[in-house]
Amino acid sequence: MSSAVTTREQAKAAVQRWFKDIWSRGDMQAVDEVLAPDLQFILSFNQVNGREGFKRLLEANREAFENLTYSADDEDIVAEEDVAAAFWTMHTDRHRGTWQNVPPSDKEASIHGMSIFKFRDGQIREIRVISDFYGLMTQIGGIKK
Amino acid sequence: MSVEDNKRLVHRFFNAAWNGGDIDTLRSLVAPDSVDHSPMGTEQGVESFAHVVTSFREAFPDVKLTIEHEIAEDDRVVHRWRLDGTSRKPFMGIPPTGKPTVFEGTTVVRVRDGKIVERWASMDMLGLMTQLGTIPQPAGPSAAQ
Repeated sequence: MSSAVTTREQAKAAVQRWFKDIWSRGDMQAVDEVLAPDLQFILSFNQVNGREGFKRLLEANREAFENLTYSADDEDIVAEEDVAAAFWTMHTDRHRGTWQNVPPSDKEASIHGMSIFKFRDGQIREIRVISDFYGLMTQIGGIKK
Repeated sequence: MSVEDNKRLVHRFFNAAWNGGDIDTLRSLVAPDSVDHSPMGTEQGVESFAHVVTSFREAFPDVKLTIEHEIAEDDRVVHRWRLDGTSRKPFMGIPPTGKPTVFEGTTVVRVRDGKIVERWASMDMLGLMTQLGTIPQPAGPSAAQ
């Protein structure tokens, strides 16, 4: 097995594909290209192991949130060899399906967050997310202020 | 300033301010017009940085910050960190639990001329509020992002 270093440039390009192709467009071919088969996707309240499981999560989220987009400016991606971090913005036009037991609210919502990415042979093998889910929950009525 | 100098600056900030409550040192490390972005909004000025630390240390007096991951490039330093502290006094109007509490988050800081000039923070507020008992435990393993 080779274990080629993922350069900063490669890491940043993969992170942009993660936001633009995978999350904002739901491109499953990009999922297979950018993510390792044994991907670990780690959230503060949940963890998904494996690329196939991630695909189900992606579809469920894009179904629950209309016109779901994630974006990060190039200057908000910081990288070293084999690792990167991105400060991002998530936006949806409408919360239209049940999410985390919260029924559709028809609300528009937007939050910021940060993800840290670890790479192996040019593919993302781990993503750890800390984001304003509290703010999202408040915006869609899952938490009463 | 090298990337290593920038990392050392942020370590000093963490140790002095978060672990030591040394606000004078904090003020010496942050530019007077520094910009602070968080889920609560964008603030300008070193006092925003001081206020975050003092209000948290009041509520969790034995708080200790541990760095869990560090990434740096050019003028930016990213940390994933955790704060461990005992809930002793009200925090954001929420009564104390008397219990050990973990608060996880990430920060990006931008450094110029040896001072922190900008910060972006993302924290697991949902996890903190759950531990403080203001909201129920989040949904189970079927929960998505």
